[in-house]
Amino acid sequence: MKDDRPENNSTFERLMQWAKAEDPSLLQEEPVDPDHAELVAYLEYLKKNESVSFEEYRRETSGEKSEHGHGAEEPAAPARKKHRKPGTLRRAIRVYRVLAVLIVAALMCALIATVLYMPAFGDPDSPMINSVVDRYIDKGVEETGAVNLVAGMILDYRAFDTFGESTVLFAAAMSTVLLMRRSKRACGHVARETDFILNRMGRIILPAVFVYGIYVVLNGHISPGGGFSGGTVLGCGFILGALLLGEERMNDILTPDRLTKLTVGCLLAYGAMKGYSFFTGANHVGWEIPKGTPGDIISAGFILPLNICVGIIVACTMYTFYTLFVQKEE
Amino acid sequence: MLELIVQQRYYIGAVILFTIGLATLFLHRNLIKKIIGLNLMDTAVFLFLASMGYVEGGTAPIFSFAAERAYINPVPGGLVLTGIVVAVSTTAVFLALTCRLYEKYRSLDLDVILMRARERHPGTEHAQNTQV
Repeated sequence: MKDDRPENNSTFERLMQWAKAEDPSLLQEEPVDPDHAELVAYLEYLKKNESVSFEEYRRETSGEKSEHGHGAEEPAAPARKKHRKPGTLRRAIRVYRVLAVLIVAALMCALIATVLYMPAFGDPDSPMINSVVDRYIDKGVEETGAVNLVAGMILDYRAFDTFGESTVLFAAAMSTVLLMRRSKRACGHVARETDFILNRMGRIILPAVFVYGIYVVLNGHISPGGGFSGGTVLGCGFILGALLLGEERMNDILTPDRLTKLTVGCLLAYGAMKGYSFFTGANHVGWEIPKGTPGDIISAGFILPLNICVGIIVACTMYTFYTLFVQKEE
Repeated sequence: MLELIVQQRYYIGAVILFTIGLATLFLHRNLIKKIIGLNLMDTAVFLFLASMGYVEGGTAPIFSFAAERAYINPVPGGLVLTGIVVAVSTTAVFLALTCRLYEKYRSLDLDVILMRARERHPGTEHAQNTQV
């Protein structure tokens, strides 16, 4: 932090010194912008006392100043007089806050007025229920083989959308890695002692979490759930495992490299499977994946493996986020 | 009027939640609180979408052969699923960027960050104009 600061002669340094009343002689030759000085003093003050309103701050500093008037040896007293007159900044902040509240209130009124004119809540004849929805509900099971119509929709009719979504997740994980990795120090020396209660309870809960996550992923096409929700549960299981075993042992099992490879492999598998369906479907080749009986665990064509892929991607991404932010904390 | 408000209560709740998030975004200078405001707005949109998909007397869109049932609209469900994932991703990126900003400027206060950035790079005057 200190090394990339310029020399002592920058305005900011002087202002900080002035704010701390360290060396007032530096202030003589340069006129101080009262707004800026006020802001600096105010922010310094805020750092000391949490959550003080600007009014209170003004009152207190003005009281302080009149007290300081008696003490003759106070060096910062002449400089402080400069920002006694209220700067335009203070007014601007107040105007901004009032304007923000007004705009938000106006927006709320407008949106509520709009919402009252919308089709009634739960109306079966609302224009939202159009031919697309009817088609999904009437033909969904027949065409996708999935009993869970939402799974059939997002992994068959709109699978391309879900592919993009997984890519967004992957891209977010990669950019987070890029942003956070630079500060990687030799961490892990601090052998964190796990909490006793966490340890005991975690050991009981952890297998259940994993089994439940796998259940939700595998039953995504026949019951509520699917890759995203099950993957989140699995990711929570990984995080709990990291808390129980410690970072080091978990890092041995799931290295960042392995996580990235797993995620990329699943994305590629997803792309290959959907590419196959799109290609054969659009060209009427006819090599369709058998749908099976709806309701069975092995059914619905590609939806089950796609759910597994999505689940692995989500779990790996959640765990990556956790490890990155935990490294940062140390 | 009151009947209408009671009937559309979920939409109105979503609107109020959205504006609370927007006000948080406007009024707080702390970056973490701004991110919390953004997440509130996300949640409001999810509530709005999910309540739009509801059909009176409908059940979850899990097909059953046993009886003829009415299902709720599955399309908003899929949209909310997409939205949640994107919200999580963007939140992670926001938090990572905030970490980097904190590392560089040692503050989470947007005013302090802008001030220090201006002090360190005096050439970029446009930073002054964006700050109110």
